[in-house]
Amino acid sequence: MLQANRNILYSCPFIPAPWIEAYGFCAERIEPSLHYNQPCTPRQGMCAHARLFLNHCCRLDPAAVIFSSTCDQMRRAFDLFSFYSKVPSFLFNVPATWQNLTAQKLYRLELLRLGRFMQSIGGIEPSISALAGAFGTDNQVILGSRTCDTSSKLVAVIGEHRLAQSSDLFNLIEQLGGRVVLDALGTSGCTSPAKIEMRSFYKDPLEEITSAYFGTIPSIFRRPNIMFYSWLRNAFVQNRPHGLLIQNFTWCDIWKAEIDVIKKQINIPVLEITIADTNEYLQPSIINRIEAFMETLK
Amino acid sequence: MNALPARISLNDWRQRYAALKNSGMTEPCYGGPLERHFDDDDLRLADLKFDNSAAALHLWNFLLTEEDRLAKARQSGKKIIGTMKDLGTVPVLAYAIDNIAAFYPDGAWWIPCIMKNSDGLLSIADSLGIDECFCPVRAMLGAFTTCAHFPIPDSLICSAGAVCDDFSAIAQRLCSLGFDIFWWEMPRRRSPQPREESLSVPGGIEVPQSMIELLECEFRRIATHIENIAGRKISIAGLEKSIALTNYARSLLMQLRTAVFTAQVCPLGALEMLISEMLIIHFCSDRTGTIFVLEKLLEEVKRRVDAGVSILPDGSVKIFWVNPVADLAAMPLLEDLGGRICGTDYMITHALLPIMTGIDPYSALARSAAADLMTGPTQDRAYSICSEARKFGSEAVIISRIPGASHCATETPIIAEMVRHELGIPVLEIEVPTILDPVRPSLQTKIEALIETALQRRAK
Repeated sequence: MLQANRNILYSCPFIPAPWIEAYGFCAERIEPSLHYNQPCTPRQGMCAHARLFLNHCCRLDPAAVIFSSTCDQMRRAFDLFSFYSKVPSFLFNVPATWQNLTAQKLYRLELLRLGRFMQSIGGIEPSISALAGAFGTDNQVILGSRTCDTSSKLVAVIGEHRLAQSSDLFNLIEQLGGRVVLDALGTSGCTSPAKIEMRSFYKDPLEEITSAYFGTIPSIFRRPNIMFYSWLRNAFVQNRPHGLLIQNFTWCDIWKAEIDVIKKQINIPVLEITIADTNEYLQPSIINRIEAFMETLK
Repeated sequence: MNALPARISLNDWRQRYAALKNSGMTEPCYGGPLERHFDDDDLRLADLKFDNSAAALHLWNFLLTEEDRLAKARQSGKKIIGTMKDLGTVPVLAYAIDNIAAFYPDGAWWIPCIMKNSDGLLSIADSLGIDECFCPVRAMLGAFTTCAHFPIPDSLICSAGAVCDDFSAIAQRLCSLGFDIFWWEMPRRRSPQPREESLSVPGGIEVPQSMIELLECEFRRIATHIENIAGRKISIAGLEKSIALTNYARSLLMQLRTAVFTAQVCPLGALEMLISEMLIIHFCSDRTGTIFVLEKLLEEVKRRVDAGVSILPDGSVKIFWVNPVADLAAMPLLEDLGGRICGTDYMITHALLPIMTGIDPYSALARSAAADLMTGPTQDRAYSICSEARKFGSEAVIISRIPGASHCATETPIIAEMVRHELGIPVLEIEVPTILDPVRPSLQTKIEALIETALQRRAK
């Protein structure tokens, strides 16, 4: 059945947007808004981001929603969504391990399965040239670094997900005399795929896509997560921030468990801010913490 | 000496132990009076009620001497492997070689309860930034840090992928503390698509053949790793023998569950049943010992069922319990309030089912791992709960949330709704902390209300 709405919603960086586009859909990476907060989804114990994503998707009328298994909370958010919603949904099984062939094979199989899913909701299997067209134009690596102004307090911001309100955080930092030299929230930095090499792509598109996304994105959920720390060290050498701000969400175990490790790995002040799924992104207590943090960078 | 079955305190066990010894009870090497464990700081034991049989005594002594067993295994030159998270499958592979002892460090999650927090493990986890946002398995981090509760394994093998975030995050922290982990992928189980080749796994669920093939590769990879640790090869014959022995232990447990849950009156308490189920995941580091303990319990239960005797008042409400409790005291509490466990899903249902035989043993292990209900859709788990609750005639379901656990928030509403829809019986959601004493009044009130509701339905 052809879906009137061609938008497919997703959040995970391991889902290649050009893959969705090549099947004739519009890939819409959701930055959930706090304004779509709903009381009907479980609150106690549910990751604020997973809950916000779920609520956001429930408010829209997409062709489909793609969840991913990069954390238990999103994996189970898919269970909730598919249980209560009639909107077609798909859970992309992103392997947590990556140093073995099994994991790479699983990722490839999941790409193919996603393709079949999109065909089942009206998508059309693309030719290799159409696929190349999609990846050749859309796969632009977004650089996380911003222009460096040495007179400012240089701040790095990292975290897995960006919210619709995230610009408030950057504005606040700038109001307090800071400059964000590393913006690695969600859509950039540690969640960026590598650039697709078209010569390799034509030989084996799936191999190249797997390599660019699964083989490259150094997300913190991976086991082991050494790629993330390698990325972090390189990013710090390049950008030389004076302070690091980590945006986390309530009940997100994956990031919370690493905060202490990150603090030990780097030699600059670190501030963790925890975003709850309230209606206010930067609550007064968080603003106070950021103000104090910026003071310490003097 | 067969006294009437009863639930007795640790204090009562002093006399009972003397009486059993006087009547000629023989004990395994780990035997002895129960109170010695209390003297070793297992303080929670004083707050529990135990079954008064010799079989239960063996069970408790076996459980509470695992650390000694592991230390002895190391002294005898065996390699120790810490299998983590998959709860039931990797140890079968490890026990295919006789110079390996395998155990789940995950079990440390009960140490703060058993020792009434005198161990300080949760405080250590706190100090490492792993606070109460995480489930009580964070005690494992403290146990590895102090090296005081089990010998540090020669190797750690941990599943990743479709696992809970708490465990995955804490295991990764172990890496940052210098413990090497061999990670393997546990893919999220899904239903086969139309025209996709599928295979049946224990429990009857159909899964894509490609998933089993991937898991089979993973188990072969794990086998190679274990062989490197052991310095020996895992033979197919050795693995088949390991599976056969495991299946025998599992069949004993299944018989025990069926006998207890379907008996007219309750022949064995919830606490002993919970511990029996937990033995099966890694045999408490001694498969032969586990088989002995389960055989004795089964004999005792059969004797009681034949005699029609019970440890609880007649008419206790049959409860299906979902998820293991962080505080063991929750089980006797339920019984004190008029409940009786008839059906459980302690997140290890796949470890209770026989491993397939007559096929390639690695494929059999893959299928056993794929049967883990925690790795698939919550709906599968909810169907299984409904089916088991129906089979055992459960009159109500308690979903016991684990504090901080990543799966509880989202799975609970689905399970509750499906139970209400499919079975039409009352469902109660509670949360049991590591030590339930501060919340005992509210827990008690909730459980009482559930029991009353179930009794009213019975009267109609």
